[in-house]
Amino acid sequence: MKKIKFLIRYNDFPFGIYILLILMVATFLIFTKGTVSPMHLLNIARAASPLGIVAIGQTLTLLVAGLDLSLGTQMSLVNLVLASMMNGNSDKTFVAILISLTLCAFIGMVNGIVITKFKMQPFLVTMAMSLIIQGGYYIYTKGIARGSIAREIRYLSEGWIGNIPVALILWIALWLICSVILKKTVYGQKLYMAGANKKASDLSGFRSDRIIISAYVLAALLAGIAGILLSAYIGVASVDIGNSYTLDSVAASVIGGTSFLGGVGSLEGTFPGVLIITILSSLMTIIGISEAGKFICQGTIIAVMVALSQLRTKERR
Amino acid sequence: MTGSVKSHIKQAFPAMVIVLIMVIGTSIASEGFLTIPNLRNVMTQTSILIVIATAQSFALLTGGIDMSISSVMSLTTIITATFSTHGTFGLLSAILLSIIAGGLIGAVNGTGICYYRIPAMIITISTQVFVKGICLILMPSSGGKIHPGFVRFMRIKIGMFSMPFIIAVCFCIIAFFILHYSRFGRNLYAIGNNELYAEQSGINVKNNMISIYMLISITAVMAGWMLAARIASGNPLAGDSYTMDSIAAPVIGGISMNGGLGTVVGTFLGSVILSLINNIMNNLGISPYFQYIIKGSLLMVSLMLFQFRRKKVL
Amino acid sequence: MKHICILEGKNLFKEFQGNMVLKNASLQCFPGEGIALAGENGAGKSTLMNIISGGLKPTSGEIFIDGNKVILSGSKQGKQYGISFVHQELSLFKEMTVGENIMIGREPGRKRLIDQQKLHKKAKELLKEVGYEHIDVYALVKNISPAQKQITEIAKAWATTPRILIFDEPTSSLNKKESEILFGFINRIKKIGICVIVISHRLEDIFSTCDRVLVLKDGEFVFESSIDKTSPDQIISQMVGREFKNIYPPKQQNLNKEIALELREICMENKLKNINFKVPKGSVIGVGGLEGQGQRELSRSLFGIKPFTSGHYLIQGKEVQIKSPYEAVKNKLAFLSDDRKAEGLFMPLSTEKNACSLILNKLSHSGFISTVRMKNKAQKIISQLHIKVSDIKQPVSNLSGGNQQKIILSKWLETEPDVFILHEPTRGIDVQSKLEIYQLIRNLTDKGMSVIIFTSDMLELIGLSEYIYVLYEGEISGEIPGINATEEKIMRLSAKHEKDVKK
Repeated sequence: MKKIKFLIRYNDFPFGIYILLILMVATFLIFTKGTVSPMHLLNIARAASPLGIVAIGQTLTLLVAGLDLSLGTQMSLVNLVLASMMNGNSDKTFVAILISLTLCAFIGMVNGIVITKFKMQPFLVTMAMSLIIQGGYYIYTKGIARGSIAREIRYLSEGWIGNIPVALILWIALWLICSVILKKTVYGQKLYMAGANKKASDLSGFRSDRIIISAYVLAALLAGIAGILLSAYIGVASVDIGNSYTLDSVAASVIGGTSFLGGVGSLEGTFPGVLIITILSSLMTIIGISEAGKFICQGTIIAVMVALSQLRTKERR
Repeated sequence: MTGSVKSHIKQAFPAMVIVLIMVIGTSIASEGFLTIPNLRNVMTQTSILIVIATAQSFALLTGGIDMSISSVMSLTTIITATFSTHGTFGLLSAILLSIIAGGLIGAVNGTGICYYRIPAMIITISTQVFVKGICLILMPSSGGKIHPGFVRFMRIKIGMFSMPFIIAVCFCIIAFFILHYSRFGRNLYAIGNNELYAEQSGINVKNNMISIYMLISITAVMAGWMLAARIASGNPLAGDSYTMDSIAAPVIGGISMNGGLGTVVGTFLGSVILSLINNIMNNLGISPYFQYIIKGSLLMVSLMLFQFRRKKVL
Repeated sequence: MKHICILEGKNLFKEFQGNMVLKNASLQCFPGEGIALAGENGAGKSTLMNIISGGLKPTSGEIFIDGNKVILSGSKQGKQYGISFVHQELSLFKEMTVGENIMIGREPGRKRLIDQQKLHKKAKELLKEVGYEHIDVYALVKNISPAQKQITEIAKAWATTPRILIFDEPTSSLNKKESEILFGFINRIKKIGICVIVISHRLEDIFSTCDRVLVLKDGEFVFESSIDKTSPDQIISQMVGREFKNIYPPKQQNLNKEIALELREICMENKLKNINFKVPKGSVIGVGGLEGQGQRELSRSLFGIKPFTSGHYLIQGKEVQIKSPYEAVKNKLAFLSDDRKAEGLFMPLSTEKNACSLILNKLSHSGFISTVRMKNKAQKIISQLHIKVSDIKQPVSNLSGGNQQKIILSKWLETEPDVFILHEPTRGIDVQSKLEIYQLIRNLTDKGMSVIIFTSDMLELIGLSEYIYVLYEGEISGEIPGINATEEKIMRLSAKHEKDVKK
């Protein structure tokens, strides 16, 4: 018994959040009075995939003691670029994807460089960046979204392999890859260290700035992929479609135990965090306050989770 | 001008130069600029931003930030639009209710920051989206009506000045005196300079912080009334565009994000710059979408200008 | 003059993490008296003063004010009882004026408003009372000199109308003339019945201002005398005169001819002047001196954190450019910071990860870290250095100071450095860990590693080093072979200024 207690205490694995997830699923099933089939649940997971992928990126930035408030607008940007370039045709699919991801990587790099080299607050830099991106795509589209996504791309969201949606497979694959990178590689561990204590990381001879910049680039790339998936789901161009994903990704990360102070948290927590957020918004839709409810949930979750983690660190000291 | 005021005003010097250059440049470039209707227009457009940016300046001067003011503004337009249809009593109750709501939100922010040690940015983002959710429940889309007398009052013109601008200027002057000539303002600067030393010097930091955040929210409520009068209805998203601008204006005006440096004179000038950009772009027929890029870049550049070489606090 | 005691501390004890820093200290303060508190770094002077002024709570013991027992919680309450502490590190608001700083919390004016003119006038008066009317009260604190800052701090304390005024190293940034003005002020306020307590390394301060001298050593009072019945030499010998307990492992007799690291004519703007020194292979080189004489700058620039502005840096006889810690590590240097919490440890991470943080590459196969190898390595480190943890997964923040320090040492030792730079390696840790660290250092130098140790603990400096350099105001004021070093010799070199004055 003592050993189990010990295991829970010092293990990085976030047990609490999985228990919460089970409770949430149970509530959802009770609430819908059993009218929900496993297919429904899989569909919910399918719809959650874009958030799942962008939340991986947000967790990375949080782990390096940062924050990226431009991830949502990056998703919107990708949607508009893809739709306008493809315009329903599949000829330019590859080029469109390449351009979108390059754009994202570039944005992420600018974010990272400005934050590290000028020592500026991440949230301000990325907020200003999101404004610039927004302005950029408004000018590009002149405010009216045009174009649609090629059928081949839509397979990413519509397709099923056996009984499992392709989107879900993509999400889980990316999640596994990133988890392994974080947990098992030297790079991943250095990322944790740069976030936990940048000064100590510098003094250990690590080039922390580069590590932090790379985290922002990775986050941006993941936002790009999430944007592609979201476009596949929507099928057409739509202005500002990804913007609400910014705060959702932050909420999913912090509910999964990732701290704003850096170096604490894991993708094992973010995964159920995404599902919880998604189930919550499904519940809100059933009650009939989808948009409002979503905002209320985001606000409450972020405030409560951060307050809890602050109280816990206080205790530890 | 005694004490540290001078040096705080000095921070606003670049903004002053920018305003001058912009005014001179545009009056040469476009004839329509230096006309009374156009100037009045610019001033009226700035007025709400001046009030809300002054509120934000209080937060920035303590070394914090308040992201929730935009939602407080939206909530105020909704409360005003819902109640003020019922005559004078309705208007009064709307005023009272919105002040209570604002005070409550400010108290939550302040308590979160002081007692739970949540970073200001995070707790205020949380209250921002929370209040936005409440707004959407109360009024899913634009609606309601504002007391016509109130709307008419806000549209009074005195010479080249409009009522909102006069209110904004008075407000700025009051804020200036609070900041530099009251104990409250002194404590605010001391906290912004160094919270720990302020505590050691016998200042009750926690109480002060909560009052500051309540003051910010209540100021946002006032900006909300002005906004309600302008759009003549309630709107759950009316305040949203002010978040970024309310931060950009003080930063352009030289208020340090680390707290304790700068003054509302800078905020005033920063707000004017942002409005001038709008006006100039309209006059030149540039797509208003460029605003986003210009504002975003301006914010980043002024941050680098004033922030670089300073110690990072957050 | 001696009527009733203003303040009395009885049998005060203070413990930090199992470390007794103050043992059974009792102190009486009378009106109009000047009390000097002497002692080495870490003797417990600041701790005792913090307890008296309310900044710290004693572990046990009682405090009486005017004969009534009080419990002080916070320095704010101490001030209400009229006890003011002028700290060595300044706590001024840098974007505010001198006047505003002095009058903080007691601004004149009606109700909620402040009268700026009156405020600055009052501040000016206070500065005049202290004796420095030439300071511009309208100047911003960020623009004034360190000496003026120190004076502002003193005036700020004086503004609280204290009955007991405590000074910690009041003259550390004042020149001779400014110091004398301060002595005049102290003597004036003593006459009006205010009790003054002075902590100072400069014996001149003590002899010009105090009536009674108390010497603290290892947290205990060892000597008390009226000032006219004692002499500077007696005080120094009382401060340092403790027996050499044999806690230091034996030193090497001869210095190796092979030089591991050498500095030639190293300078850093305003901080370091013409530093020359050699670190022979397999030996311990000590750098001593009073605090703030350039040790921090030197140790940090050795590791590339803030590079030198000019001079030559040689490693194994070859000139190198070390502009960042990254390059320092490449050149097989290691660095232990004096602030282990802020700069050494990855607090939220586990003990295991902290210990293995620098050898991740060695523990991995084609980029992937082997969990088993990491675990084994961590366990080996922990058992070798006797680090007390319940589990290697325990967050390093849960460990005691000594164990944390050993973790940092071990993480660097795993990189097998040639030269290890240690800055205050034993600050704030328990005796047992101290001894273990000393033994560890010696074992490593026997294997050929060189160590540069920056420490303000005199005994540690003498006990460990084969060769000692003493810093004073950014210059090397003297060098002594370890065998010949005595505390008095080093003390004289570290307080060169004081010696000059006496001549």
